[in-house]
Amino acid sequence: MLSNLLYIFRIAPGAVRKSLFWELLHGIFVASPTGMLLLIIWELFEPEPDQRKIWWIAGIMGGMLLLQFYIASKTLLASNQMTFQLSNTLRLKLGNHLQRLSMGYFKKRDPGDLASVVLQDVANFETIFGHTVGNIAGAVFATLTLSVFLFAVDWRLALLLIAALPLGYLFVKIANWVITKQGAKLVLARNATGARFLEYVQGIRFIKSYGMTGAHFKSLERAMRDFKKASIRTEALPGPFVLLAAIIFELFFLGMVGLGVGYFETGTLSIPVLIAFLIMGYRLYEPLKVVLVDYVTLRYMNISLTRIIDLLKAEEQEWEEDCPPEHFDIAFDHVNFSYTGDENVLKGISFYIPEKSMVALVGPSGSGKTTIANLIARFWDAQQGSVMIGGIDIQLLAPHTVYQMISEVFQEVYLFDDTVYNNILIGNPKASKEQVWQAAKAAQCQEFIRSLPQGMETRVGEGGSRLSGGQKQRVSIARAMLKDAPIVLLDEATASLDPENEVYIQRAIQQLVKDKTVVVIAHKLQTIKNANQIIVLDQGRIKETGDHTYLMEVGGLYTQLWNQQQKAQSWKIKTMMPANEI
Amino acid sequence: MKNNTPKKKSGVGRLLELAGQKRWLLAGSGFLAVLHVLLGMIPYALMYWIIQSLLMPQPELALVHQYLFWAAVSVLISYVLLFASGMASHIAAFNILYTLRMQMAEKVGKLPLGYLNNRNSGELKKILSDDIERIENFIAHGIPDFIKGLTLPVFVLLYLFFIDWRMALISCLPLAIIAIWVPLVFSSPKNKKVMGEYHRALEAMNAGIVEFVRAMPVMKIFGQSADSFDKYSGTVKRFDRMVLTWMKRTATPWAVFMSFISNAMLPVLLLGTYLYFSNGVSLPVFLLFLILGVGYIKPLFALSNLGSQVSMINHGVQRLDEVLFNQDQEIVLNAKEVKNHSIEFEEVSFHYENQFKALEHVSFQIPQGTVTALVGPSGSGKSTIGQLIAGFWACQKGRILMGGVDLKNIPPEDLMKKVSFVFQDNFLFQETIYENIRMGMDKGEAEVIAAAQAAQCHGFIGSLPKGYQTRIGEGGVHLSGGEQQRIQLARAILKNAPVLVLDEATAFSDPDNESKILDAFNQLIQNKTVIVIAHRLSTIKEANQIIVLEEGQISGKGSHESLIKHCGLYQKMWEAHQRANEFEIILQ
Repeated sequence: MLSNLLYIFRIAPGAVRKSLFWELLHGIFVASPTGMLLLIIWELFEPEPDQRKIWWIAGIMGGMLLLQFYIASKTLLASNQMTFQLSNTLRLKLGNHLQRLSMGYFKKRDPGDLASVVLQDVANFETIFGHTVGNIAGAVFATLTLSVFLFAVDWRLALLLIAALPLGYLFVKIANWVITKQGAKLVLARNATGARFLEYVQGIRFIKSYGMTGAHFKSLERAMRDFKKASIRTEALPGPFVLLAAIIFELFFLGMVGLGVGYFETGTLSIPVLIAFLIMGYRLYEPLKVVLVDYVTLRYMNISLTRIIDLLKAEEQEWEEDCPPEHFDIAFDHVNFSYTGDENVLKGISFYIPEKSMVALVGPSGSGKTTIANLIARFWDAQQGSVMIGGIDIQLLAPHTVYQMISEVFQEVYLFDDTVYNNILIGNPKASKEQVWQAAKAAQCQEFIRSLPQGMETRVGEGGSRLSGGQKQRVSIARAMLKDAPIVLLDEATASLDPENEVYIQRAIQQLVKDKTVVVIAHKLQTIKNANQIIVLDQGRIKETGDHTYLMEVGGLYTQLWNQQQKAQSWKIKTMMPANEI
Repeated sequence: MKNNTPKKKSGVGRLLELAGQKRWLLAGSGFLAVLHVLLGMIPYALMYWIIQSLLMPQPELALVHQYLFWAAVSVLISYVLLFASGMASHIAAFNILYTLRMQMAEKVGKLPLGYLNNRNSGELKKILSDDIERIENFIAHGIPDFIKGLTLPVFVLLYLFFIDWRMALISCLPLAIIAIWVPLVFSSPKNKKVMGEYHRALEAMNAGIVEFVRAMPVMKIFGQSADSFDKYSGTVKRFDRMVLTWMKRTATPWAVFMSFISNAMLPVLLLGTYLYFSNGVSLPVFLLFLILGVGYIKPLFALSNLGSQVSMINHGVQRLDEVLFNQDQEIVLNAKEVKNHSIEFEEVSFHYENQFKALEHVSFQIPQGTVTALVGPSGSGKSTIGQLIAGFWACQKGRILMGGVDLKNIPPEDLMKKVSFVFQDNFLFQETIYENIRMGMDKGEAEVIAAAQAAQCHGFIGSLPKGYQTRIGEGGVHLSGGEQQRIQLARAILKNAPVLVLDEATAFSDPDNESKILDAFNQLIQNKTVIVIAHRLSTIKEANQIIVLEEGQISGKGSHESLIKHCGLYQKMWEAHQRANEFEIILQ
């Protein structure tokens, strides 16, 4: 936990130092009434207590109280400033870091989970740290000064009190160990419940339409029951050790009193000193008990901190130089690639795409078409072999330089909850209004944008929910159009669109690919009949390459796919009943 | 377990209502907590007696040792009680969480499917795991802490009043000042306004972060970093400024509050000194007040945390209640048996929650055993009709009849048995392939395999490591989209329901799957009442009836031949379809 905190403190050392300074200063003010109390008690035990002296002390206390108003508010401000400077810097750092991670990282981790690191974990840190930092700084400071003071007064009793600390710490350590052990089981149970529930919700249509709510419900119920049991165990098992630590403190205190009484009997201890220990001794442990209570919440914070730091330490993609190539031909040289590290999705892929030509990637689903497109965009890095653009291995280029060269039109379109205009503008933030309109026009958006209530200034809703699927795709093409990158990656899949929208999108694509190096992931073979080169993939290997005419002559996999598609194209639903009007 | 009285409570009331499920266990926990506090006070009381006996001219040391022994015993017992109290409250809490989670899952199963379509499943999962989890804090810690925080000061104060009422009264002074003044400051209108702005800034920041992470591929390809994406950096900075404003407003009251606590003994000291020197109090009493009369108010301030805790928990409970108190699908009152499987729409109007009309006065008939195709631009309502037939929604106006019986009079389980739905998207459960086809139906192995053969999946299933017993998903295999589609088809073949709604779109998106599935499809639809949500017009050219939809209304009905002559929209779509099929990308 300490190393995690130190790591985080490095983000804003100035604010941390400033806050520490004020905490220490404030600590003096918090501790001083206790010291004053002692002075008063000693005075009271004098054979002839001096009333004026006590009034003086009360006066000083009053004065310090006024001063404390000022110091405390400074301390609060400094500690809050530190907390929020840390958390907000973390938010920005995490955001920038996320953007530089490879897409592979996003594939490995659920995006919802990543968002929750930036959202929930940073917020956890902020809240818990903000609430406990004062307590803990105060506790450490108070315990330190008090023990020094107690040693000065009577080292024997002080030693006994201090001896409780390592013993108490030992029990806390044991509790900690138990929590870690049991916590791992709890996490598994929690994840299982989450996964089961997610499956239940996502599959609810299927569960309902086959009337099997019962069976799937049972496995969910079992997961929840296990989760409940694990939760109770996580509380029950470490509990006694935490309490033992508290009991140790109490018993050592009572032991100290007993010992003190003994010394008093033998005449080596005066009553005022014994009473001083009665008062101060309890306070020695008081802050530690506060920390014990905070300890559980601190562990929560530490879990969040670990997740934050792990994410910050996740490796960014490396690169060496940052000058974009002059030409935009693409070459794969014996590329092997695997998403998971075990089975290769691409096996020894080599091909060459000349600048400003069109290549089509064809093959059954799972053959590696999309992976090739992802490697060209440097969303991932090939494990073996090299991917080159303009003769430069793209692993030497900064990812953002590679992205600059590429426009993508994929099936899944992500629009921001912003205006249509800004959604297109992201393609080139420096573009003029006129250029944005031109791109929209070329992408066949003009007509539907005009029909929107506020035209270009209409907000598209979260994820573009106010636009139809076809309209969203056209906006994304307009975006790509505005970007005007020399390489276009195109996933041609318009299956769920109605014919009219399909025609619009086809026209838009036709505009986009002008004068570009084009890579098409083809589904409808008709679409890519004209490609300069067709690469036919099967299970991560290149089966055959060539243009349409050549491949049809060869009569291999491509011909087979082509014929199947022709057959499917002409397929009709057939019923026993004649087709007539009802 | 059921919420028969969905009256809405909120805030602490709602939390206590939830806690009420285990009120006896919690009452026990509270009782033990009070005992813990009382026993915990014994050492303090003994300390007073110890001081007293030490100050006697002839200290009775044997008595002191006896006191110490009893103090140790009470400490031990008090902590055992604390543990028992904590366990009782946690067992209560986790049982309540379990019940809430079960309620939520049950509820999700009962809600109209449309409700779930509009909601992100991750959001629901967040409610189930995170929001419900937060309630634990209130039940397991909040309630016992509240009891403890209240008992200790009350009992100490009673004890102090018993010893010397004047000193006890003055020891309450700091408490009184804080209790009156601090809430006044925090509830000032200006502060409430700043607090509102703070929450809005926080929400805007969270929304920006979520959008940024979800849109990561776009962010990368268009070179947007967190710094340059204003919704990210801008909202973080705005939040930062908001926090600073809030802090500056509240720093002074907090500082006064903290300073008063650490100097809480000042009034006692002043009064005590005066009384002591005028022989109003004895030395042990003065000492007792100096020692006890300072620390005892602290637990009360732990209660102030409870307020912010409750408001944090409340957000989650509100989200949970939104789900729990949502309207169930209506319960069928007079169930009727259908005579045949024809379908009829009578003047049906329908709109989705808070949205435009999806269907308006739609009427048509589908005789049993015929094929009807629904065509139209996206958003025209064709998918809605399919979902209405499957009973995923209830229509708001008009009637939908199956075999002459209003769907509202058919229990959902019965309707599910009569209708198969082949969805556009696929979903496989983390189960064996066998169970994924069987889907809990009362069918034997031979039937499952026959269905798999008919759906053209038997071949690829055979090539998997464990055949039909291969598990899907984590630790198992992952099937391609086409393969998943075929599994879904096998399910429908196995179910063999008399009415079939099928969404034709993605079945054909992958060239290698197409021809294999086509024959299976034609086999599946024989002798059934079939409704095809069509995207490719050539596919449904020979359907018995084609219904053309536009913006929720029927703009034509009939065979392909008659529509191509009389229906303008159909003509247009047909032409576009022809053109779309001829599309070839041309460079330059």
